[in-house]
Amino acid sequence: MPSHDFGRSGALRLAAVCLLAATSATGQEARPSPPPVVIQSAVDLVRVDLAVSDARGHPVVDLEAADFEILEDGRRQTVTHCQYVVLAPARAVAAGGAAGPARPEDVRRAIALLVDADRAFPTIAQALTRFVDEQIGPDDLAAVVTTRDGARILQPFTSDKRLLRAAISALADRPVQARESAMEAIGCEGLPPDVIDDCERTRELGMQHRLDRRLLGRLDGIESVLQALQALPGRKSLVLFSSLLNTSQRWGGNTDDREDWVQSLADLANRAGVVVYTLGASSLPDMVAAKLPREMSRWTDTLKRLARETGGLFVDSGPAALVRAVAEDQSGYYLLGYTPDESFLRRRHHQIRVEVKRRDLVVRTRARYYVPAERARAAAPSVDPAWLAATSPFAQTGLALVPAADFTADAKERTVQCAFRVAPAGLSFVERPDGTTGLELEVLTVAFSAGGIASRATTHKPLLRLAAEQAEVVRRDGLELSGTVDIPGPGVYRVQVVVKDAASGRVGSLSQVVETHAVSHAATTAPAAPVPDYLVPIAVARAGDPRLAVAAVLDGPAKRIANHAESLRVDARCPQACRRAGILLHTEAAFLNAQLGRRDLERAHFAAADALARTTAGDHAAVGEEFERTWRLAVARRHQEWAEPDRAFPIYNAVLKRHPDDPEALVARGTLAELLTTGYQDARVRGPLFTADAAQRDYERALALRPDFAEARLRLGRVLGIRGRSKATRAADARRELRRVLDEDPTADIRAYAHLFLGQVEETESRLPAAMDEYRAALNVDPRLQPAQLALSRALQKAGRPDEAGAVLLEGLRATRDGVHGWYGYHTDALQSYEASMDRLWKEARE
Amino acid sequence: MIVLPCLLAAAALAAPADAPRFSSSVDQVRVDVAVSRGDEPITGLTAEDFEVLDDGVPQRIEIVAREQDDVHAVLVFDLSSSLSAADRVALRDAALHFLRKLDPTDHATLLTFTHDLRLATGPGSPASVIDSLQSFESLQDSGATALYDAVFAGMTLAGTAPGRAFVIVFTDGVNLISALSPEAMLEAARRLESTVYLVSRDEWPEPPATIVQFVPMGADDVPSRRPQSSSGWVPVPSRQAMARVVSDTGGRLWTGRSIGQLRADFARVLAEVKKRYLIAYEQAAEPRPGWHEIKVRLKNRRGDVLVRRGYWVP
Repeated sequence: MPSHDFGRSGALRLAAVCLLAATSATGQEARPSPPPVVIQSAVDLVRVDLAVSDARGHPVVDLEAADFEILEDGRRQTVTHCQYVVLAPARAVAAGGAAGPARPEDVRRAIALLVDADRAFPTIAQALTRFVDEQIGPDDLAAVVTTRDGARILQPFTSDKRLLRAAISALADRPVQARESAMEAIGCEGLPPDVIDDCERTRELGMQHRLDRRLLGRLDGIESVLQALQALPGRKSLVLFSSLLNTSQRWGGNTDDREDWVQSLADLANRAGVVVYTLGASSLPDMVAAKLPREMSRWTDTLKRLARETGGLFVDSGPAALVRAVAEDQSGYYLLGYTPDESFLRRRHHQIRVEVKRRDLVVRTRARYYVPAERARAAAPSVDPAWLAATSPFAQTGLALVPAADFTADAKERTVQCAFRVAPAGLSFVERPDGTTGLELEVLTVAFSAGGIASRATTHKPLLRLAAEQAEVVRRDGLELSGTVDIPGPGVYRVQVVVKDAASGRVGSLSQVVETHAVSHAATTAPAAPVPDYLVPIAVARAGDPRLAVAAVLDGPAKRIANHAESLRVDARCPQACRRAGILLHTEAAFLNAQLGRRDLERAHFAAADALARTTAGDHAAVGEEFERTWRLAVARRHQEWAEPDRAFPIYNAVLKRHPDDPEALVARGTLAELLTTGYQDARVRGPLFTADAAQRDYERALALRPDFAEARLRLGRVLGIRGRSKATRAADARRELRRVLDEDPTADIRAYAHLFLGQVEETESRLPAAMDEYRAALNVDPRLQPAQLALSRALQKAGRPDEAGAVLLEGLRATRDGVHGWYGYHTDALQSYEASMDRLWKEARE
Repeated sequence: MIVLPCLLAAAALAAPADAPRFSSSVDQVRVDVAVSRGDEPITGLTAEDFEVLDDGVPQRIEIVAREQDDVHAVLVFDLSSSLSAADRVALRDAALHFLRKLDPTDHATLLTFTHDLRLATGPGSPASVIDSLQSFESLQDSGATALYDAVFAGMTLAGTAPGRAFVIVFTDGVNLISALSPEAMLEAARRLESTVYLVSRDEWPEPPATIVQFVPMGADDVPSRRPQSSSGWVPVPSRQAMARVVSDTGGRLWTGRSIGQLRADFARVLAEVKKRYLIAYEQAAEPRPGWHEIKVRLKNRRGDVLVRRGYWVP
């Protein structure tokens, strides 16, 4: 059988869209979900879902239509239909993995387990694992989501218990807790009096920052999950483990807005037919919550209301009790039906109250019922069917995919081998003019991991040209495809393969769960290099949150580090590397403090760094002349990046005072003048050194010292084109310099800018076609160069081609969603950056 | 404003926005007009209620569309570093509130900016932009403000999807550094057809005359006097350029708005946009290339008319 290798997949982040996409896929083919309300044709039946329990909270299952009374907007209705829908596991619960429901109509329940709490993870994980083991059957779908640090889907909807357990385990193991603990562990006690206020402020900032993140994460998470559940079939529920949400930040104490938000969440749940179960926040220990009792009380009210409005349950006695209650409540529910009158459709929603005639029974039902809006359904976003299939828990059968062998994982290579056959039925064979038969398939592979959303995905669109005899075999036996999917490391993965016939759009999918174990440690990991302790806070700083880094600097171990760095200044035995590290440590700490607005500490750190650099009696050699020069230029560049010209300028000058013939320093100072005179359109800066002429002089002098300095010539060309000495020769001078830059085969970034500036020169002379050619040349070299995208788009507008202008810009922006090379970068860090300089300096310090 | 080649005005006007356009020797000028009294849009007007002057010449007009026409809303949001996490939540909520009020057949685009531009999503259905807002937190959130670039891009992207194009810009600062000049942005505003609404958190006061004064190298390497701001410079507000863009395109400018007012501001924009009139008249057989000034007045009625200042003939 002809076979085709679809290759090794590239990386593609699935991000949080995957849960939504999965449900959208099912929405296309899912049967309508019975609850909460079904309007059949001309509204001949309204169905209401509800739960009834006795005084001890146990479900009551033997009620009949005559036992109920329904009030629609206060008007009594005749109950014509009553059914208790049993949801208890119908099939034996598999101990390990389960194939899951093959079709939407086979789904019994869809349960989203959403966790957002800072602590007590072992307790939650234990309860969830038990729930999964005992409750999730082959006809159920469950997803594990966390909203801590932003919404993250740890496991999209699946029936596979291995995947669910792995996701729960990953949840418990997440290292964020350690980082947050570090923040909490900041001790201000014992610090010198002059920094204790700063320390306290840092703690407050850290707390505020943490709450901000949690707030955003939860809002995103809860709404996303409800939207995801909307399109799923079966009885749908959201189980929410959530500690404090500090709602006062969001609404500034505005009670009405808070109520609106809770109502919108409840409405969303009711529209989606989702029952919400919530856990009392007080049963989850929370460092912040303990300090905000009023907020705690408000959040508890919110959780209670969410459960009440959606017919769910609020449990305040811990995670285990919550999952027990959910398990019992999910054993079944009542569906009541009644025939509404003609006015039903005239309102968008109705308040339907259900009462039970027997004594001592509690009815739980939704606060509102919504009339489905046809128009809203029609507005569902269009998503590539291949992508939907890749993220759907259901197999797609537009094309038949059969595994040629079990998918196998290679832990060492970090790949999963996939081989499968596409049956001929449904494939579109196209006879081509060259006598071959064309077959165009799109292959999409996704590996869903337990610790995140997905690990890898890729798409190929190979146009297969089959000779006559090959085509005959494929028409008869189908086509075998094989390839590999990247995985990040050992773990459990659900690998989903989707094939789309490009001509017909038919889609088929195949899913297998693979597990890979860690290979021998010695085989994969080089011995770790010893990390000097003074690098630890910098590692933290570079890892992410600057506030955390400052916290680390103030924390116990880091305090010792700071003392250590200080001691380097006077310790004659300290080798050069120690001094260098001390300079860099103080520099990083200074900028981190600057970011936090802690100017006193920033100044103190800069002073310490400067003192270390100067050492004693101006003995610069103790640190290294070149090291110190590079460091000072790096610091000035960072000030320039941060729009602090008054701080950058004296440093450039200081370097030039000691190294007057330093081309790099000349260009660095020239960039500042160039930025201030040609970059900030709305800033007015005066002073003899901040003119275009000053920039031009610096660049020309740098070139006299080093004629092959491409960046100096590039910048000179630009400045000449804008503010050249003579208007008559301006364009010619600029064109000459920029052409010379290109002739000298510069690096790609400089080449791209040279084309951009040449285009601008052409445009000033009203030569639009030539300008557009240069802009296109710039984009050919660097498609991410946003100034060139904008310039080309504008030139097309000027040429009377607005549609093309829009298309060019749209294409450019779409292609650079993950990063651009922007105009600010040209003026600050694109060609010379603080980060690159500091990386280099750290490397030297370590060596 | 749209110059639309048409064969038969009525047929072309009834067609959906993405229907084929017919060629003809007669071109049509379409002008988007908002009419209000105070904050309340005035509805139910007919062609007889308007007087339209094209370069001072009265035109015979007809109203080709009014309320509830499909729109393409381009949201352009400033996410520079001055926006706190709570502000972002409020901004996102205002956007969600706005998008949920759009019709399913409308289009929307979300563009964010700091000193660079990022297309978050679109053009697409309002629902697709709502989806993308779920990951609003992960979007870029620091840096300076490239306001001119962002407004230019918003106006340019507005023409890439069917529907009456309008751009809502939210910024919490003034332009700092853009690849395009304010003149380039203004020129695009004249050439393109979108209406720009701008909501700014800043008041944009008048600028001081001198921002930073430095002396030549050698005098101790420090400024001769302290700069007027701690960071060494203060940008001149972009108010003039932005006010011009807004008035040229027939939109509105609100400054000094609090984050809490955004939801109401966005809703007000939508209410106005959905109630704008699309007035059409035949263009001269051989129109003069360049800028044509439009004036629209109400006849025998009282009300404020918001209309772009003119249109551009290539």
